[in-house]
Amino acid sequence: MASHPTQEKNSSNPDAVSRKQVRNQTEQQLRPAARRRFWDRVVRIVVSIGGLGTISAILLIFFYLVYEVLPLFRGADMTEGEFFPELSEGSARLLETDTAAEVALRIDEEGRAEFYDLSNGELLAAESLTSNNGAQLTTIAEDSAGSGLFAAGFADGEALIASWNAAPEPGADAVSPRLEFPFDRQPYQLPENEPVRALALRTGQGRVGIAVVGANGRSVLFEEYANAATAGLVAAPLTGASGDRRELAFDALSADRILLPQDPRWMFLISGSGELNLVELGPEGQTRIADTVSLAPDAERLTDVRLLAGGMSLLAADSGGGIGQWFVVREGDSSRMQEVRRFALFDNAITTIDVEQDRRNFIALGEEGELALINTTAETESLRRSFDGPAIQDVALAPAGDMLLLENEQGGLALWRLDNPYAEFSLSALWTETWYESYPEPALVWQTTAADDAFEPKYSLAPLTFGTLKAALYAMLFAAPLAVCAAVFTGYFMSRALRRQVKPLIELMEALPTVVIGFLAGLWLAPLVDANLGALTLAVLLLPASVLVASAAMMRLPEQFGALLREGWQLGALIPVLVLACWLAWLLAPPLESLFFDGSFRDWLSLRFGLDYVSRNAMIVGIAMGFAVIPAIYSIADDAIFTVPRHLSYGALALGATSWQTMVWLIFPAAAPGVLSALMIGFGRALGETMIVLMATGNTPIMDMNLFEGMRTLAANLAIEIPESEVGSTHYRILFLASLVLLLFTFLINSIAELVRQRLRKRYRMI
Amino acid sequence: MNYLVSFCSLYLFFLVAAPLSAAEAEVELPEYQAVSGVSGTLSATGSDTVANLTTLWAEEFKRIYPNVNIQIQATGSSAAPTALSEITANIGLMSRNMRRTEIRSFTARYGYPPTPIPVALDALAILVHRDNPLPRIELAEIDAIFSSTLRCGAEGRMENWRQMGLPEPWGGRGILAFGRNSVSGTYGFFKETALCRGDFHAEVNEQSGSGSLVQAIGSTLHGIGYASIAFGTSSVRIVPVSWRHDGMERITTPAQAVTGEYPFTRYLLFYVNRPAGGSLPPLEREFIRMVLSREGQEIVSRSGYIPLPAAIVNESLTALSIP
Repeated sequence: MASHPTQEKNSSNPDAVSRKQVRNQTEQQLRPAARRRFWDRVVRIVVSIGGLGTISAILLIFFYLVYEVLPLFRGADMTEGEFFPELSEGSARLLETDTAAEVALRIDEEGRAEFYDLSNGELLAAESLTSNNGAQLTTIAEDSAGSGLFAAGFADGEALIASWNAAPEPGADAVSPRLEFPFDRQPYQLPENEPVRALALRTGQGRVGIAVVGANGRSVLFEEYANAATAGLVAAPLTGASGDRRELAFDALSADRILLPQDPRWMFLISGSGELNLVELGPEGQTRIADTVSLAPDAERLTDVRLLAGGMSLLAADSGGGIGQWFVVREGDSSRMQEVRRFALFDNAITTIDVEQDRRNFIALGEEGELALINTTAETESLRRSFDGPAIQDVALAPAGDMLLLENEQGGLALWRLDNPYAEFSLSALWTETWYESYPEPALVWQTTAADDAFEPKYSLAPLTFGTLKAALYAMLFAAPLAVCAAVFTGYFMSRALRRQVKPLIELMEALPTVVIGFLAGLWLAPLVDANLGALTLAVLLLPASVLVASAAMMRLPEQFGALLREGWQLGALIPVLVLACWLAWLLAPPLESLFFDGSFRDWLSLRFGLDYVSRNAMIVGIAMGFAVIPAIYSIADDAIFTVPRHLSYGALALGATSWQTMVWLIFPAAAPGVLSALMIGFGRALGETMIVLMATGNTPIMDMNLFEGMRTLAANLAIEIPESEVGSTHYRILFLASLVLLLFTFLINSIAELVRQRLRKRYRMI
Repeated sequence: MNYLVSFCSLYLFFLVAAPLSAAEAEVELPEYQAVSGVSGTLSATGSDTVANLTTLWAEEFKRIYPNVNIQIQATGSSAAPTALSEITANIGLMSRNMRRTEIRSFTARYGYPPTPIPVALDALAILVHRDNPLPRIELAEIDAIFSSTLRCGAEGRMENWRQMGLPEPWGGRGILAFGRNSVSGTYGFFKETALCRGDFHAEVNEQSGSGSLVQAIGSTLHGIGYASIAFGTSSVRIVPVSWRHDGMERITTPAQAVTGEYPFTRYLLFYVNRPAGGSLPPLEREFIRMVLSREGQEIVSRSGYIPLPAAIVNESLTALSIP
């Protein structure tokens, strides 16, 4: 970009160049020819190295960004492992691996829990999971928070919370996987001791909730033990003292499955035919059905339901090969179940789905042994596979999503390695509206971090791109007229002596570090404008008016003053007028505000037009960033105007044109290519500016052109988020993608500017 | 490895804190007794909140052991797990619990999880401008101001002070929410507790530090925000938080953090790399012992945070097998 001004000078002033060359030639004739050739060559080499170095440095940056971004577009890889044959019999109620995927737990229909070493298929341990009275297992459910806990229901109406541990016992060397009961086998008992048909478990935020459905499918026991406040330090799990216990009877319903999502207000009761009743667990024991929907309206039957990571969304697989993602959506005062997405995966029924612990990934197994790995938020299908040989009958994803445990119909188990780090990325989620959990409607959201594990990251570059353009636009709105008008004035009208003083002064503004400007804008200007918005608006109106009035007055001044003022020293006379106008605005604003705007212009705007006023807003950024780009625009534009040959204007003036006519019809068109490239350089700089936006706005990723609200730009976002992002993660690579977008922006702007400039130059070459 | 660890360690805290009462919190901690043979370099990386405290502890520690060199880097909680696992720091400073993924990548490398040690209590205060007459704020109202997801049970978003029940002229003013930026543990903690794991609304203004946040609220009449109580100044007012339980309303202030009644209470934590059942090197052990002594906890209360109750200190010392 820095090459523009010099090019500009040379090209718009060919006469000066050729004169210089002639002078150089005469000087050079005095020197020995050999020495001259030597230095010519040295300089040529140095300049070429410099130029090529610059180009290759820019290319290198570009390629590095591309190199960091490319892995995002890679799908998942799967490394197949051997099947350890005939380990188990029948089908499993629970199949899962530990975090490192070294040990698998398989609990079969009868409640026999077997632990396998996944490196060699060896049976490490086996025990039987029964109730306190020795009754048989009837059903099992995993914790919706993905904590590794599960609830087991038994034939005598008892339910227990259990977990398993594959770590060596303290003091022991060998791995001894075992079942554990963190709450000391304290049972939950159905009132009529009927067998447990279904149950659900939810932990998190200091609460433990369990819901148990009896064999008749109509009575539901719900117990929750929670800290009184949401997440204070005092909790009394399972002491009963601060618990919430309700026995619910739904006469008309039958529940075959029950799920407790992470939102403590809801419970999902699902019948065998796929009808879901959304139960609201209100305060003080109030319970009601908030909504009823059919989870598989087009298919014959529902085959499997699971809660997605984070425990907010329900996945419902049906016999038609489709999976729907549902969650509770608020609509006005009421809430309803909404099918947010539908994945049509296979032509035949889906038998099992399993979910990853933290990311919104799930794996679906089709009736004929096909597998598909899907990310719901990004709607990406990372993997699809079908198999020959013995059919796969069960599948489990390791908690980290890096391993896949498969069970075939002959009872063989296999561990397959999965490499799927960037499933949360897709171009469509980056740029189009996406429906995120708990949101009332699809939206463009940028929110990437949270302290909890199962956070659904929201990567939409649209608000950031919008913010970047908004900031640059308002900065240009402020800077362009000021800088170009200033350049016109100093470059053509101002006396040369004064211009020599003024120009370096304006250029000196460029030396101000942007962090200082941002600091001043955020901590001094923003509160000042906030407190004096009325006065400022008045000043915007009064200043141009006062200039017009003052100019008119100058025309009428007696000749001896007028001549002096018309010689290009008008500026000095204008300064007191401008100061006076500002003072007047400040003085008049409060009475005017109380007269017309109910005392506060800001509140009036908000009430009358719904324009919210945020103290660190686009206007502050516009002013501060405008201040930063003014010198760049001014300096180049002034050079362009000043270097238009004087003989042209003398000619025009001699033919009877006024100064203004000469300026508008002759000088400005001739200088237009230069002025345009000045503006584009200013715009490019405003796009990439970081510190001012970072400090002078609230960095709110909103999509609203309101002058009185803030924005979050691509550059400021990089500055905020790069330090926290894990190297090589999806977030990290998307940030690189954002910087690539920024680079493409400035590249595009500069290319357009160059094209337009070339065309304008051709058009005005005859001058 | 067992993935119950994170869950259980969280609950350990809950259980330990349960029997607390104000009287027990006043049990005197032992004074720190210097031992011989402590020297070397100790480095700590992570949360800026904890780093401020650690600097004060380091001064005290160097007064006792002049030969010890302590380096502290304040970059945000998210930097601590990486530093601890790459051994660029002996102590990870965090103002939130480690995430499951962070524990997982540490465990994958060492075969055991990092050990958390609570070193001080902190409470997030809900702050408004000092002239704001708001008497108290409910949990759901906080969510309704700051979040776009409304997971804590609010009916709709709160956009002006009239909805909060304030009289004119406050009623006409919109609510301007301030928050921290996403690197900070405070941001994550607030998101998890006050927003019920929901999302911040896009219009919450982000501030790069708690100090500038308090300053912004102090100069914005209609502003509201959250920060650690240690950052409170005279230009802002702390609003009591109310919550309902069994139909009763409780109004709590951050001063009640130590009894566990205030909902936005968190531990400030050290994370150390300690093999299961193993012991810590002498330098780290003595530093932690000093932090958990009477002198160390006096520094905590002097800098505006809440000292740990003796029960928790003893629990930690026992868990670390420090006499």
